[in-house]
Amino acid sequence: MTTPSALSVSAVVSFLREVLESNEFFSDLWIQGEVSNYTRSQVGHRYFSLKDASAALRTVLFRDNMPGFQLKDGERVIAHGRITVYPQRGELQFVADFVRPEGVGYLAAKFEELRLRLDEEGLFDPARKRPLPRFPRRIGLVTSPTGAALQDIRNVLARRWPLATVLLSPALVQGDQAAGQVAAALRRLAKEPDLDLAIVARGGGSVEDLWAFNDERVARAIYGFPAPVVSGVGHETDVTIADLVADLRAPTPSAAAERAAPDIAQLDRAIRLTDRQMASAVRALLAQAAGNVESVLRRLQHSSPKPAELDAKVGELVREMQTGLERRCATDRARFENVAARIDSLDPMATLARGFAIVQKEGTGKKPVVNSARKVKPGDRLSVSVADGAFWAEVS
Amino acid sequence: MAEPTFEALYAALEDKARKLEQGNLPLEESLRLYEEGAKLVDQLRVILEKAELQVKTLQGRIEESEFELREVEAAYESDE
Repeated sequence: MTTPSALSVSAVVSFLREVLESNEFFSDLWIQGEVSNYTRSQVGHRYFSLKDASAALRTVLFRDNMPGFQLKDGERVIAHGRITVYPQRGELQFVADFVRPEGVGYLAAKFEELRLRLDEEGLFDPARKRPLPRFPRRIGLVTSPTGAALQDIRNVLARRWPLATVLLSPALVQGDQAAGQVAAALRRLAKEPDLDLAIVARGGGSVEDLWAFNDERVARAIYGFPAPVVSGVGHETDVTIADLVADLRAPTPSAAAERAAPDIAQLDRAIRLTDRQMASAVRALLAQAAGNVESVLRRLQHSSPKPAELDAKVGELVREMQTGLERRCATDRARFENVAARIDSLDPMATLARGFAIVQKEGTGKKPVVNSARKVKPGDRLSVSVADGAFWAEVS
Repeated sequence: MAEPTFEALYAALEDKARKLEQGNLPLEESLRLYEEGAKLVDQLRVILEKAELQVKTLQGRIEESEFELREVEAAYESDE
């Protein structure tokens, strides 16, 4: 058994310090007061008292947390920090980590303190902003189930991107509970599978109305969210901490919906343009093929010892075509006309109408297009498609 | 079998259009690409035309606000 004895000073002071430092209230405090007994230590720390009419609190501000203005006696300030005990003197001490002139106001000071702290921690780092998916299918939405923001977003998405499914995770967006609810709503949403992105939104209001979006819990819930987050809070001019953490900041709820999703009208135009470009490419190929046919014919005429006979032969074949070809080429023609009908706005038949033709080798199944004189030899039977039909020809 | 998504069809269309525009394909192959592309164009436009926005509300207690920041982080970590 140990002999009962009085406690040492160290033990008591150390216990007191532990009690204070483990207390949430005392470890995250905002205090306003007047600076007095201001001194600066050799290494650059600032010591002073914060006081009002009836009390004073010893305060230290370490040199890493210097304010952007000159501290001096009589200055009224607002400060953030924690309370501890300075053991050597057994004194209560306020360890400030952020000091601003009282005139900036409590909310502005809080905003700036959180912004600086989260910025330093890397929550706003542009390098970690995630790109938004091009065609989001499942869009999470955190907002009030009764607010204008929901209606605005619903309207924009119904018009621009109705392919989406919106998963509304409801939260109060105003009042004391709002910050906790918005963070909780994000947490619920984070559990949904296959979410492509989330929108956090609230319509316009006063700085106080929007305050939930300047809360550290909301900031961290956005930062840790498994999919990209788009913020749309307040009006153009309001920038909240949530906006800074979000992967994309939109000025309003409607704008958030617009930035989050593509526009089907635009997509439809792009699809139709692609259609026309493809048709155009096919038309160019047809023109090229027609050019090849011409050159084959020229070479045939030059190399043939009896061009007149060739002409006569072709004339004969043309007459043959008039009786039998329609039937024999029905399949190919139907196919060709299909393509032609599709690209009619670009007048694809114009190439053939100008006198060009497509020459294909006879064969079972595929009929290879003749795009080189080397591909034919005397005796080959060729199908020649022109503007209003097709006929057979033989290479001599 | 799941319906092909808009995204998959759109990617297929872009792929065919790219191949077609690069040229240097035989005419038969180009005609085939164009026919397939045209079919995709039709499918995509039908999807756009028929689409209707769905809005679902997650069930959850809206009063569930008193949770700690640690829980948010723990929830994300356990997902990973």
